[in-house]
Amino acid sequence: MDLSSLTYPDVVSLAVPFFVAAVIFEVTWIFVKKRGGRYEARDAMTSLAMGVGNVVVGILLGFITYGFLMWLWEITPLDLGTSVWVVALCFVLDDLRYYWVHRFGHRIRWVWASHVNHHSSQHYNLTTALRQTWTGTFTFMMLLSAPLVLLGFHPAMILFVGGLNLIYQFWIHTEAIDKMPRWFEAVMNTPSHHRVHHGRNPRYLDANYAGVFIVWDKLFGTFVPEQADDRPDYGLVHNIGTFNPFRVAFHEWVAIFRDWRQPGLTLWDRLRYAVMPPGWRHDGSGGGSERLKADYVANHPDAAGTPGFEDYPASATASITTRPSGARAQSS
Amino acid sequence: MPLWLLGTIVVVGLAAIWLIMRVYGFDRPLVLTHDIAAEEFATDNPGLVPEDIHLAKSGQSALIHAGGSTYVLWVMGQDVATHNVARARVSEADTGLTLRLPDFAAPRVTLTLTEDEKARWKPMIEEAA
Repeated sequence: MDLSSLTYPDVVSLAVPFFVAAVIFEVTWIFVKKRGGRYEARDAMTSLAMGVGNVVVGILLGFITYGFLMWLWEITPLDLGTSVWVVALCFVLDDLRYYWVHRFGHRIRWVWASHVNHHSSQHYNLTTALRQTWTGTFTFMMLLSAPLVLLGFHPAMILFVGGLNLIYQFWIHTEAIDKMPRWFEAVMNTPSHHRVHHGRNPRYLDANYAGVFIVWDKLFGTFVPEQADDRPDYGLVHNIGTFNPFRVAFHEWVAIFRDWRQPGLTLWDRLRYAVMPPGWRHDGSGGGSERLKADYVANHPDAAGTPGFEDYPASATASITTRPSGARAQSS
Repeated sequence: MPLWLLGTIVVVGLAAIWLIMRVYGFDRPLVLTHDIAAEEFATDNPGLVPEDIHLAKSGQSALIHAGGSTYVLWVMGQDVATHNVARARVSEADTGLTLRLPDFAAPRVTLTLTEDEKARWKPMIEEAA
């Protein structure tokens, strides 16, 4: 089948009017009902500016990812065609890809440098969904789409279902919806599950990476349910002090380069500043998520074994007595 | 969708959202109390307990001693940011003090202070820096 000219609608652009209308509806709902979340003008405008920048970068640099995937398409002997079932299968497998890209985005600092901006708001509302990266191309995470192309899914289809995935994730960035029906919460990513992901509470660090189907987290052991007695506190473990979109977009990249410039580091240490989890320090002074969780359990022994702390025994001793002076620790 | 139409929707949409937030009063800043400053500081600096809090009369910033270091906490909208003042450069501003911090993600903050506060805070920050 000749799929050289296969095209799909640019669903993200088509969704922009819906995004605008939904934000206006949510902010009005919160104002009228006096519940269901918080908005702050500068925070929200920063998020929206990040969203606009993400679209602009996509227009300018999108050819790199698409060119790479089309190159793979040229060399693969497989072609699954374009039937509805193939598109549906592609959507599910692309969501599995998203899970791993997202998990790497929190556990590999080089990828975190791109993703951190999405977590840099201290608010959780629909504008937070649009606080998207400007530097995703430089993480090389397009490599994780390679298996899909090599299996015979056309690159245009992969980008199409990726757009649908992004649109799905828009509506779950809200505090206005508490819980969905039980069957839905069991299978799908929901506002409740994703609030956990954005929480900086120790319990919620490195949890709920799912895009559309929460089953991936349950399958790979990263699922933590939202706890009524531990409401998510949003933002980074140590929050940034700027609304400037350029600083939001690039601050962790700058931090990596500053760490690289420290005198006396081995090449191995310099590499690890890029590939180890956020918060890692070569002298062991870092405050990564494991240490934050262990310290929390040491100070709150009753939390041991509860959701998010299953692997943290109550006997652990608190290790952070003073805040590490280095890079910002892991976020949600 | 044509680029001009997408651009128009974005510009008009963002302007509308900004206007609505202003009308709803969602641009009003948080006003700090001692308790709020203490809680926000501890949350933003896991493992540190504030030992001494100097709260500005404006309710927009605080100088906090914790763990042997000095930190500045300032209001950002309805939230706060905190930073160790080590290696900060401090200068006088019309409304208080300006701190230039060696951090790309928190490069500069102007603290609104009374003349008395300015006179007391400046040496404390300079000593800690």
